[in-house]
Amino acid sequence: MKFAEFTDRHKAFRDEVRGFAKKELLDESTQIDRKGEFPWHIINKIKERGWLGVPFPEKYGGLGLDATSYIILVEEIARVCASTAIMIAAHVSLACQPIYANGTEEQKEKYLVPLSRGEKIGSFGLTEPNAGSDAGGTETTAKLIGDKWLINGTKRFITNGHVADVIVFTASQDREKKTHGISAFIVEKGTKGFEAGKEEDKMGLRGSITSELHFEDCELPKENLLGKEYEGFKVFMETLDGGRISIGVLALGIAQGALDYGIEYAREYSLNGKPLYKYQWVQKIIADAATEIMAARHLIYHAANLKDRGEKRVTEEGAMAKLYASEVSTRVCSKIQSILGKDGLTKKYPLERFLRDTKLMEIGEGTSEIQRLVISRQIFGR
Amino acid sequence: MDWMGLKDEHKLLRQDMKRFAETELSSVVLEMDKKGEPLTSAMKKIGEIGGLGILISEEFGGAGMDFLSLIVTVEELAKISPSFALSVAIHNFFGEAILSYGSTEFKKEYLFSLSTGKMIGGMAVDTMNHPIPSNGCEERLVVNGTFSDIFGFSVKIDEKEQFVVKKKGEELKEETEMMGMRSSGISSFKLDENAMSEDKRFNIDSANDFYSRMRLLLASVACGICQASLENAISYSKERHQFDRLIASFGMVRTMLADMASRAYASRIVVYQASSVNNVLDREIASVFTTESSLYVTDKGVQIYGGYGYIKDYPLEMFFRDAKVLEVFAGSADYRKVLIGKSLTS
Ligand SMILES: Cc1cc2nc3c(=O)[nH]c(=O)nc-3n(C[C@H](O)[C@H](O)[C@H](O)COP(=O)(O)OP(=O)(O)OC[C@H]3O[C@@H](n4cnc5c(N)ncnc54)[C@H](O)[C@@H]3O)c2cc1C
Repeated sequence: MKFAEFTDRHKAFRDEVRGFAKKELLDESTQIDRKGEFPWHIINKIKERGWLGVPFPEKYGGLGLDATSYIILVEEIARVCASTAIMIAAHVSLACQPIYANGTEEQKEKYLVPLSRGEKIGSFGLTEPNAGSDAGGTETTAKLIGDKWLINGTKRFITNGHVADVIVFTASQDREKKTHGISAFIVEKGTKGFEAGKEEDKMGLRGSITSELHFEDCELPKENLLGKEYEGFKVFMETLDGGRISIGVLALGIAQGALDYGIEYAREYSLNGKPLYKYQWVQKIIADAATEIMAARHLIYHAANLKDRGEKRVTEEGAMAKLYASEVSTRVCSKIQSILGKDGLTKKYPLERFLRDTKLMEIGEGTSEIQRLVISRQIFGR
Repeated sequence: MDWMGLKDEHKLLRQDMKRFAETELSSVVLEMDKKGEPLTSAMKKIGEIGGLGILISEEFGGAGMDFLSLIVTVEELAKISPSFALSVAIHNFFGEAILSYGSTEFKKEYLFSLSTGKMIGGMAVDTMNHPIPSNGCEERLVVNGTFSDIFGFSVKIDEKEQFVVKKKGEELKEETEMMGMRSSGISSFKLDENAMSEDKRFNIDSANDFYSRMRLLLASVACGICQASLENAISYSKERHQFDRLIASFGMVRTMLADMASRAYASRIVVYQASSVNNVLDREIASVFTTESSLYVTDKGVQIYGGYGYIKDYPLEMFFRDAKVLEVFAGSADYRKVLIGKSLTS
């Protein structure tokens, strides 16, 4: 399958990442899932290549490539190991990006540079026990006392939570004001009063870390405010615009990985003495999957391309891409698993992992229902 | 919604099983799923109340109930633990196989122990073939394999279907890495010379009929999963607030619930109905429809729970994994549809 949108540079980068994924990650991926541990050894190799700062300018420690290149990176990694891919997506899209877009020069120097270089790991704390889809319902509070912020509250489901050195998060300065009372902040690991709590035991993405974060009378210096006071809602809405594309492409990568595997399997395995690929029911599954994946691919890279052309907000396109790709991926993984029969049900083959991993893409960074609301708001206006 | 053919005895049985599941299964099910261990002590206990000899006639120590009774039992247990329900279903059905096809002496030797649970039976559920490497050897999956004393599987020899019964030996390999049904003690074995040695064989005259009934039992596990996911999702959506409202008040959540409910209701009716008529095709249709429905319903159940559907603190993600296993391991639904289409046109 050819894809028209890529330049030669994109193709070269894709081949480089693909080569890496095959050589360094393919054999590890089952073990990463099995152990359910953060793949430090892989992340270290990824950081050496500068891939934890792909889309940021070199002066901030990045590779200075475009959004499309970053999306290519996530796709190629997700094709092999979604746990590793979501680590990267959360780090780049949710931690680095808001600092790059909203940070002061000092903040970029202090946080973005080591994050892009991969010397530090980043994470984004938006969700709370009572504020999931309604992230504006943030209950974590921030009070400016003298020249310090006093933070109290709990975050839940935070990717990279335990391993992160730098966490961007939201808190409300004035809960009466609802979304207009929210500000964004940066906290570093080891800050007194801040602690990562329980780790979630999840259906999939078992090599990625999802944690609670606790703030108990946590004091932050005044300059740890990210962006302007009371504009935290805007900060995270913009962050999610781009973040959605990265979740969408994670789903795309998983679906493509499942399809690749399904094709190979259908060639090599037989059912009742007849090669699988000669069955029409198998051909239908593969053809539908290939078609839907291609459609998802266009949506995803279209959204990334708009960003590269300087479009400030890609709300609608990002939401469509994420909604479609995530639903396609669940369908594709499940159907291809069915081709494998009982081989689709154990860890000896990757399909059952793909399905468990991809289901999150319909939930994280806004559920499918929330994407539909975002899209229809763009269509009808508020 | 209940089916009109249900008698009082079935309703009473359902209540008993509900109570049993709540007291004996609910507190341990999630932990055992994580560990991938069977619920063996509950297995013992259900034997004590007659749940392991449901179809066996009283002369052999069983309860002598009808097939619908087994369906109702399995469905009810599956609402709390699909794995356990599967184990109970397969044990009972193994007994049925001995009862239908075994020699008199064999029946006398084994049926008493089986119907009281002194002995546990296992069975290969994948009567339909699975894909194999181009020159590879076929493998079978045996439910209850890790903890049964005796198990059966069927093979075709000279175009004749035979039911092979074996005492458990070394050929059974525990499948520790199943995606779902992790407490059913699923094991596998290679269908080679070795597997066929030292065994007892019986002729099965109507294999299609026999196995379609087994697949209907798998469908009743799926039915239970549908019901439970629906019930969980309904109560969760009536507790969880977002945007200062119950999520049950959102149109998209409501439509998901409606889609779940229609499939859950239809599954139940179609399974009960198919259990009461003597028609293989009806059973196949019921079983494919129901297992596919359970995947659909559990997927939506996870969705309604949001992030909480993705973690092991709640049963939704387990139901989803279990449903996927059901949809595939007795033969992929997509493949079985081809066979149904063939029957419909022949
Ligand atoms: C593995 C994992 C990683 C995650 N990583 C991060 C992270 O790094 N940072 C972070 O901040 N968060 C993260 N999250 C949290 C994730 O973004 C939330 O789980 C998600 O936004 C949904 O919120 P919720 O779980 O509270 O579900 P709820 O908001 O309670 O939703 C429950 C159901 O109600 C529906 N619903 C809610 N509101 C509406 C509405 N208005 N209209 C229609 N339907 C509605 C939802 O679609 C869903 O079906 C992660 C979650 C998981 C599971």
